[in-house]
Amino acid sequence: MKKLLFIIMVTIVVITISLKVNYKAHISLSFGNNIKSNYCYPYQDTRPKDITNDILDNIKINEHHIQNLLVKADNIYIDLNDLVITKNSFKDLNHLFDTMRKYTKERITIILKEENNYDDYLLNKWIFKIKNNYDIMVKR
Amino acid sequence: MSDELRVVFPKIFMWLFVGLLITFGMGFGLQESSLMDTLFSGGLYLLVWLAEIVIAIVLAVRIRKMSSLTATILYLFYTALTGVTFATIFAYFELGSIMIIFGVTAIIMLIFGCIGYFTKIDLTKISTFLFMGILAIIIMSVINIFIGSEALDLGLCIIGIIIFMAYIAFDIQAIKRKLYGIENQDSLAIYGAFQLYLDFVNIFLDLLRLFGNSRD
Repeated sequence: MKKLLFIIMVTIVVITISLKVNYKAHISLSFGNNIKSNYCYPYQDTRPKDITNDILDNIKINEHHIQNLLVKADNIYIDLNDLVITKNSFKDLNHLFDTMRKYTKERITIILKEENNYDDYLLNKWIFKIKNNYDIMVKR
Repeated sequence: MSDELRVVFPKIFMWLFVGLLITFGMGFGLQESSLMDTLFSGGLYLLVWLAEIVIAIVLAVRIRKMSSLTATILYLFYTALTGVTFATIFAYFELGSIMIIFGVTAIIMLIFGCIGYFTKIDLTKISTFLFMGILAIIIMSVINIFIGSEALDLGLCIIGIIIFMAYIAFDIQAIKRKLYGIENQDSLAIYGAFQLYLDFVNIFLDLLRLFGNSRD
């Protein structure tokens, strides 16, 4: 009986802790080497990281994986720190957000470089659009 | 120390160490692998917990009748299953924090093990209090899963640590005085290791909840 109580105790504590785990998806993007790494905390993604297709193909290839990643995550971070933003990247990223919003209503945050080579006016215009269209937060 | 105890105690601590190694190795390995995904998404978690409880009942009821080999297999299987559920611990807490608290728990185990071994006080007198304490903690912990009170959680952790510390001393004394009524040395070693393993894990979890740094 004592042992059973001890085991129940362990189980309760582990359940309590597992309820506190905050699942975060962290997706790092960089063009040319598109989806460089992605993982959903506390899961570690062990997939190959060198994917050379362009990002649209990449999203198609990884759609199932992205879906798996997103449905479990409470917070999604998209790290664009390594991304050199061009006009085409906006189109590709919008496609990514379309894909993501199909699977999750949770908070999505984009992490952008403080300084970016791309035209500030166009970048801000795009940020304004994605905030409204996709309900996405931007952290710089 | 009698010759018999001189043989049994090292075996108990050897099996305790093996059990802990399996549990923590399994937890860490699972958290690092993509298997964690499968574990969390399916109903596998529930099955693991169910299996743990079944093994505990079998070990408690049948230990006197089963061979030492069966007892060893069941014990190792139990520690591996606990390792599966421990993947959550590795997901939530920092690895450094887990390692420090593991060390602290080992020191506590050593101190209270010595107290249990050398004390002249008959610790069976406090067993009813300890049992009632555990029962109260379980009931309050279940209630707290729904209430989510941090203060109550803190209180339960502190009381839990005190009770399990006392249980270490109690269990060591019980093994020394052969209170479990197991004649076979190997079976007694496994049974003793299982008792101490549960004490260790419970103290470790309570300490981790009190002092552990989360990864968030």
